[in-house]
This record gives sequence, C-alpha cells and structure tokens, in this order.
Amino acid sequence: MSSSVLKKENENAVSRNDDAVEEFSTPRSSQNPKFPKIREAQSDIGELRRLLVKPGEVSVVLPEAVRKSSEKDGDLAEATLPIVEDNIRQSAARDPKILAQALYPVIGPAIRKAISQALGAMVQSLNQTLEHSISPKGISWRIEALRTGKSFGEIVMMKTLLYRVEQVFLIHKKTGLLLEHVTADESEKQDADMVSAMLTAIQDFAQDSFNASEDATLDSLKIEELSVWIEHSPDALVAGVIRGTPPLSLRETFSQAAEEIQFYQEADLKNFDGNADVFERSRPVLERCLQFQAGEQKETSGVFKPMNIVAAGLLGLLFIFGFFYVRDYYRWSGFVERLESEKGILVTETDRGFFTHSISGLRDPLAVDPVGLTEEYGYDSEDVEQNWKTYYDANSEFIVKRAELLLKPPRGVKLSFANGVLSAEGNAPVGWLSDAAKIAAALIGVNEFRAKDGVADGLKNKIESTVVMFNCNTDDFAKDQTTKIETLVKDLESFAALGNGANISVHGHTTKIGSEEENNSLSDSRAEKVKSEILGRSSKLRDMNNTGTVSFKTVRIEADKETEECAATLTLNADSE
Amino acid sequence: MIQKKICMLGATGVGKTSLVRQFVQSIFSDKYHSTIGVKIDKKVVAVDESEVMMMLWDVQGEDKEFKVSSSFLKGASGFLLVVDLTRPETLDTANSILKMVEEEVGELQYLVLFNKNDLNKEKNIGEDQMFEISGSNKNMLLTSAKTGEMVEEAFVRLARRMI
Repeated sequence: MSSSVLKKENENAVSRNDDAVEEFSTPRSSQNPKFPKIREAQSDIGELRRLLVKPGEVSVVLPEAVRKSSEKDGDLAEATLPIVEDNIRQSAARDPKILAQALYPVIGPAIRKAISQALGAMVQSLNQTLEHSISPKGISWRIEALRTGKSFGEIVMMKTLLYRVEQVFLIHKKTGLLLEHVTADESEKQDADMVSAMLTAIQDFAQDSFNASEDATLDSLKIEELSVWIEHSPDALVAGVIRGTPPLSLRETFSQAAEEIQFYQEADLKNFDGNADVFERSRPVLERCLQFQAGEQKETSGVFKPMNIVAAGLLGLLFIFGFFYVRDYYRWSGFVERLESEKGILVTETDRGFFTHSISGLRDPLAVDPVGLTEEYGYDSEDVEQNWKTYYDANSEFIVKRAELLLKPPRGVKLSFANGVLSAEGNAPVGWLSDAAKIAAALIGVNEFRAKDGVADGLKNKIESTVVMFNCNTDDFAKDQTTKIETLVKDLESFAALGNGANISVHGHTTKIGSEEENNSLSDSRAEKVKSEILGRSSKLRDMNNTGTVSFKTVRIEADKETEECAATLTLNADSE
Repeated sequence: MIQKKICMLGATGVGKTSLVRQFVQSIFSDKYHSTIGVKIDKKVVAVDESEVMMMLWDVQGEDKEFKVSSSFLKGASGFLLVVDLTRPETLDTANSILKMVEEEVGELQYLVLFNKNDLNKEKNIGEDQMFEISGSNKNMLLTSAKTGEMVEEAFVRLARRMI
C-alpha cells in the first residue's frame, strides 16, 4: 500500500469521526426544554466526546499529556515501547536506508570514536609489548603467559599499566556546576566545585581558542603522571582524575558511566536548577569508575611488601657483606703484618680481592712457613695465592741456623755469628772441626770460621800425644810410621785452619846415655826430619810456613821415659783468636 | 544547597577581580585570566533561610584585544556587570557586553556595579547614564572594592534574584 493511499484513508476516517461527533452533540432529547439537567449532561458528554475524538483537539492535549506522563513516571514509555519497537522493526524491514540516514549523525561519530579507542588500545598494547619484549622481565612474563595461557600482550598490559582513578566528577555540561563527586581516598578531597568549574572553563577555552565546533570536546588533560579523562554525554561530563598509566579500555568505563547517568537521569540533567541532591543516585555508577591496577607488588601490604622484603634482603646482604669485609680486612692486615714482622720474609706486594687474596715477596727457606700462618688467620691455604722467591737472609740468626743445618755441630758445640765470623764453642771432634772449617767458608755471609778456646783441645791433645818413633841411635823412622805421620799432617792442617796459625814445636828425643854433643845432634836431626816430613807432605802447611802463619821450631829433649828415647813428639801453641 | 553560576563581566581594570577578592578567598591565582581568560571562585551566601553556592566566573576584562566570549556565559544564572565610575568608556564596554549577552545567551539576571565609588572626585559617570544601562535603582549598586562598600550586598542581591 502506497503512502498516498494511506493518507487518503486516514482523511476519510477523520471525516467519519467528525460526523459522528456532530451527530452525538445534537441529540433529539437535548432540544427538550423540560429536561435541563439531561441537556446539561448531554452537553458535557458531547464536549467530552469532542475532546476525545476530534483530531484537532486531541492534537492540542496529546503533547501535554505525554509530557506530564513522562515527568510523572515511565508508564507511557513502557506502554508505547512495543509499538515503537514494532514501528522501528517494520521501518527497517521496509527500507533500511531511512533508519540508517536518520541514525547516521548519531552512529557515525560513535563508531569513529569506538574505532579510535580500539586502535589506540591496540597501539598502546603494541607499544608496551615491544618495550618489554626483550627485557629480563619480559622473559619472565613470557613464561607466565605460557603458564597461564594468556597472550604475552595481555600479561604485559596487566603488569605495566599501573594506575589509580583518584577522583571522578559528574559535571553539568551547560553550567559547569558539580553534580556529584567521588574519590578513592577521602583525605585527598579537593574543592571539587571549583575544579569542575575550571575543567569546564578549560573546555570552553579550548573550543574558543581553536574555533572548534560545539560538538568537539576536550577528552583528556595530562600533567606529568596525572591524567584527566573526560567523557561527554549530551548533558553531563564524567571526568576522572587518574594517576599512572591507565589502559584505554578505562575510557570505555567512563563512557558507559556517562551514558548510564544520561539515560537514567536525563530529566534531572535537563531540568537542573542548581540543586544537585538528586544526583546522589549516580554515586554507585561513578564509584564503578574508581578503578585501579596495582600491579603484583602492591597486592601485599605492610612490612611484607616485596619492596620491603627486597630492601630488607639487600640490607641484610649489605650487613653480611660489611661484616665479612671488615673481618677480612682485619684478618688480612694481621696476616700481612705478621709476615712483615717475621725474620727471613720480605713482603713486596699484597692484593686483597673479593674472593681471593694474593701476596708476593722473598722468603728465606728457614723462615716461618706462610702457608701455615694462613690457617692461623682463618684462611684456607687455597684462599691465598702466595708467590715467594727464595733468598738467604744475612741475619746472624739465619746464618747460625743455616750453619747448624749444614755443619750439624756435635752435642756440646755451639755456633755463633758476629761480624762475618762463624764461631764454634765447645768440645768438638777433630774430624768435625776439619769439615766445618771447609763448609763454613761456603756459607753466605760467613767470611771466616773460628774455633774458640777449648774447641780444638781434642785435636791439640791428639797431635801432642802423637809419638813418631825412630830406630835407636839413628834418625831413621822406625817401621810403620808413615800412617802415623800422614794422620799427624792432616791433624796439623785442621788445627792450623781453626785459628790464625800455630806455633809448632817439634821435639827430638834422645837418651840420656852418650855424649851430650851426640845426643844434641841426634835430637836436632830427628826433629828436623819430622818437620821436613810434615812440610814435605802438606803443601798447605808449607805455604803457611812460608807466610809465617805456621812456624816450626826444633827442640832437643832428653827423654825421661824409656819409650820415648827413640822418638819425636810435638807441642802446639795454637792461637785461634 | 543550590548552586549557581555567576559571571563577572566588564571592561579591563574596572575592578572585577578586586570585588571578587573582597568577597572570597580564592584557590586559583590571577594568572588564569591571562591564560585561559577566566578564573573560578566560590562563595556560599545565605539568602533568607537557604544557602546558595555561587560559582563565580571572573572573566578577563574586555578591551581592544580581548572580547568576552559567550561560551563562558553558557549556563550562567546571572552576572555582575562592572563599570568603573572614573572611566566613562567602561560604560560603553558594559553596554556592548550587555548587548552581546542578550543576543547570544538570552535574558539573565544581572546587576550593574559602579565600582570605585570611593574616588568621589574622579567620578565621570552621571546618574542618567547609570539609569540608562541598569534600568532602575534596583538593578544597580555603587560599590568600592577598596572599602568593601556594598560588595557583599551585590552578591547577595543577585543570589536572591536567582532563587
């Protein structure tokens, strides 16, 4: 059926109604003057019918009736809802373009805004994801994403977008007056009335400054970590003060709040006369906007906050580190000082590292063992790297020790050192003295070896007890005297080496029998023979004799003993000082 | 509590901000005038048995370089139009503002405040001129931001008219 046909039918229906009203308004009984009350009643009914049925009059009262009904309650809206829905459905089914054209001015900006928000959220997500994709934290989040089955982007957004909506303002759009205000923390309450007015002023300023259209709105302000997000409905603003970095999805929450308040309190908003009491109803809606994303570290409270635990841990570590550092400092200092005070050790370099220490220097083999000292100071031997180069300390103590080690003096013999002279004191065997004199000369720091008084007594006694036998009445050596003479030579060499020299007296013995002249001659001859034999066998003694270190003299002795009548003996006057 | 948006209008230097300062303690500094062109203040006044919270939009004074924008007047319940008694040209500005308001916003409650009434010898605006713009005695007040003369009365009178 075409629209023109419908219109014609409507006109006919109206005409029929008019006729019916006219017919009813002039009933026959009304013309009877005998029934004035009936006539009056009929007149009233006629008027009523005229008002109800006559289209012109209905058109006058209908808008007012609808308005009053809307203001009173929602019955009319509820009653007409199915009709309106049905009409919309029919219209859309008949020609969708009509509805689309009608809705385009509303839906177009809404779609654009929704797409913009979605793209913004996607870009925000992408940015956050890229920012954290290769960091150590990002790796742990990837593991969490795998564990929880969520996407990596979701995890990143959840962990990084930490924010808190601190305040939400509901502002009357036209006047800028505050309708309602909720805060996350009552202590942070500011003068919300003035803030809301100023927000509106800023909005007006922005519109004026940039010649923006009235539909253009200021959606957000940002001051450092604070953001103000503003969502607009036709008659109100919902402005949220946010600290931190909120997800763009939060804007959707604000938008829904603005729409919800606009829907449920549209009449209050449009008829707002300065009394904001009625908007207390909107508090729950606004409080839904007080959202926050605290992040994992804020989920615990009190002293057991992760940051506190980490700080306590760090403090503990610092304390432990400090304790060990100080203890190690004193240990190491004590160890080094001890080594420096030890004789036979020269410390040239030390290094106290975090885990290992090292020390270098020179060490006499006879000095204390540094490795043993490390344990005394609380270190394991492998904790301290030690580099010691051998040197021989010229300190008298070490020279004596070294001499004792090498010479191995017999019991009763004591060594001492002074001014380059190694001295032996006590009763020493002849052989040891002989060897000691040779070895001592090789000792570092020893210029000379001396046997003090008494040390060579044994040797002297031995030499002086030696009796070289001759055939009687001749100066020929008796049989088997060679070995005795060889021993005598060695002993004399040792004796001479002990001191600065020796005065050796060779005694030629004779009997008392015979002439004095013959005996003197034989005695001299025997003494000279022994002297010659000694010098002939020892180049050392010969040299010493030539230099005067050793001197020989021959002495004639008339033997008292029969056993010594055919002999030669020696006496020594040695000076080893 | 009833809230009302009130605008302070007038030429530059007529004493709008001084009048407001006499009336309220502001939390915003005056620099907002030169930045966004308006400064917001608040004052609660008692009118008969009720209280009215007046949100005062102290709009930057109009001069050759700045014209009062009607956007600041949007939603206002009334305004105080301030004239400097010592400068007749501010009366012209007030007239042009009044015309702008009528044309762009519509009828609003207002009072004309002839300020600097303490400067007796320097007054340059006659009573005829005052009546011409204000229409009647009830619609105007002689004020002094310096002495505080009639300042409170001005705000209370406007508040009473609005409720």
